[in-house]
Amino acid sequence: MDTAIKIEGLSVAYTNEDTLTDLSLTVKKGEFVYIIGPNGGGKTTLIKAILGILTPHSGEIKILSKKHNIGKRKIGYVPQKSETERDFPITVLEVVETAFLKSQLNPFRLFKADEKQKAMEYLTLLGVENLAKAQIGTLSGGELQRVLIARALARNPEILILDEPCANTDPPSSKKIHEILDEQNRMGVTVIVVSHDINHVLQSKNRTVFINKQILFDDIADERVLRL
Amino acid sequence: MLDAVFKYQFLQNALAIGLLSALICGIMGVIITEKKLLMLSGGIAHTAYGGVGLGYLIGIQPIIGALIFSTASAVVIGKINRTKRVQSDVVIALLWSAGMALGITFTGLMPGYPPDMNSYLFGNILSVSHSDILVLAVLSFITLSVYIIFQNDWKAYLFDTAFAEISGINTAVLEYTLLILVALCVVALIKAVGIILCLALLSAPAASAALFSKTLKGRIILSVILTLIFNLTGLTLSYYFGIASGATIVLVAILTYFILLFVTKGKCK
Repeated sequence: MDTAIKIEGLSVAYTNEDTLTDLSLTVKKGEFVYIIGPNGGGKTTLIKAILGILTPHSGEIKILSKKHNIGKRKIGYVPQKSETERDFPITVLEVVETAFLKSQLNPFRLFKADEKQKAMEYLTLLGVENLAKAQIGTLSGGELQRVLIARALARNPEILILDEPCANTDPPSSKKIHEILDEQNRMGVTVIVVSHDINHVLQSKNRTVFINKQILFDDIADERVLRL
Repeated sequence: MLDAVFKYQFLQNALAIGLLSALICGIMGVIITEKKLLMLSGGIAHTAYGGVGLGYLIGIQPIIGALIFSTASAVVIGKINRTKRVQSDVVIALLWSAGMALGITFTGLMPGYPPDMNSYLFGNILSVSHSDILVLAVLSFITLSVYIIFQNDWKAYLFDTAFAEISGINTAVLEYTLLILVALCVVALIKAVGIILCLALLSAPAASAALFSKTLKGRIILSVILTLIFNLTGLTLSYYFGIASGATIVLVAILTYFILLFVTKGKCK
């Protein structure tokens, strides 16, 4: 199986203190991987290093066997809700449309009718098409998360990375999100989810990587998972 | 006052500055408040004081010195923001104080009596020249053009910087452009309301507009209109009561914001 993400000897530091130390991880194409671990253990740092938002001070990351800055264009990313500007005056449809901006800078870029239609299709897939004209700040946690997933899918990604997608969402939203992720994975998309929902992770039977500055274990069958 | 406007060149100049600063404040104020960059803008504004002092000391236009200092501080803050190695608010606070300290030091080094720096600190819209109007017109044109040309990039960047970055949008260029525009905006406002009071003119109209409009475009248009109203009202009051124009404009803006906040109960209709 081809490699989706290959990380070797990765170390990332915030203000001179290592958050990740000499971490290596390989994710194959089409895999569904959960990343779990304690708060401050480096889960989000790992995601941000993969996305190129944080620069590692050592180590190498390859995405789809390409250099990091080229490969990352194939990633669809769903951040934690707190990382978006929720008070920003923008509609749901406009948020999804931003996924179609693919150049470094997009002067005089207006969205075409087919792009608007495509954005609506992704909103429909996530069951939030009725919110297209709503301001992003008026949405509930679950609704916002679905919109952010629709935006990630609109990039037609080969790899989908989600940071706590079900945090503070109601059970129906959470169920819908898991269904969508499973469906995308069945369609061949590599899915990586940072999660605190240990019960769901255990039920899913997917590969689970436990991180606390390093990878402590990388197997759902590891007896230490059962003690979490 | 209308008679006086037709009669006196300085009042015509003041009106031109009021109109152009409304345009630049309306756009930048909304972006700055939405991106929560007000304190950063304050830091950039106050470093401009060092440039004013240097301008006097070496005999160049103080406003050129302010432009150099504020642009340089914008670049330094942007660089530090991106490296994430140091808390940016620490650097902002240090540059803020350093700018003021340098301004005082430079003017202190001048032979003879130090120049009156009050018009740079608190503004004096009635003392503007044709060249000030020209500078502000160019800065307003640059700001308006940069916003309109890249408006969808701005939307993506302002709503979710991380997503914009991994989408391939050059967020570094947008971030530095935004900070440099903040620096230009601050310099543009020095003549109208001064270094110390410009934060109010960047925040009050934008925050007032946010109480009435839910869209970015609506907030910008409303903010431009409100800034113009604040400028004209402040100018008129200062003319009739013989009080400082910059302070009057700022007080009108702040008072209006709190009245609107009270009337709307802080919620956008």
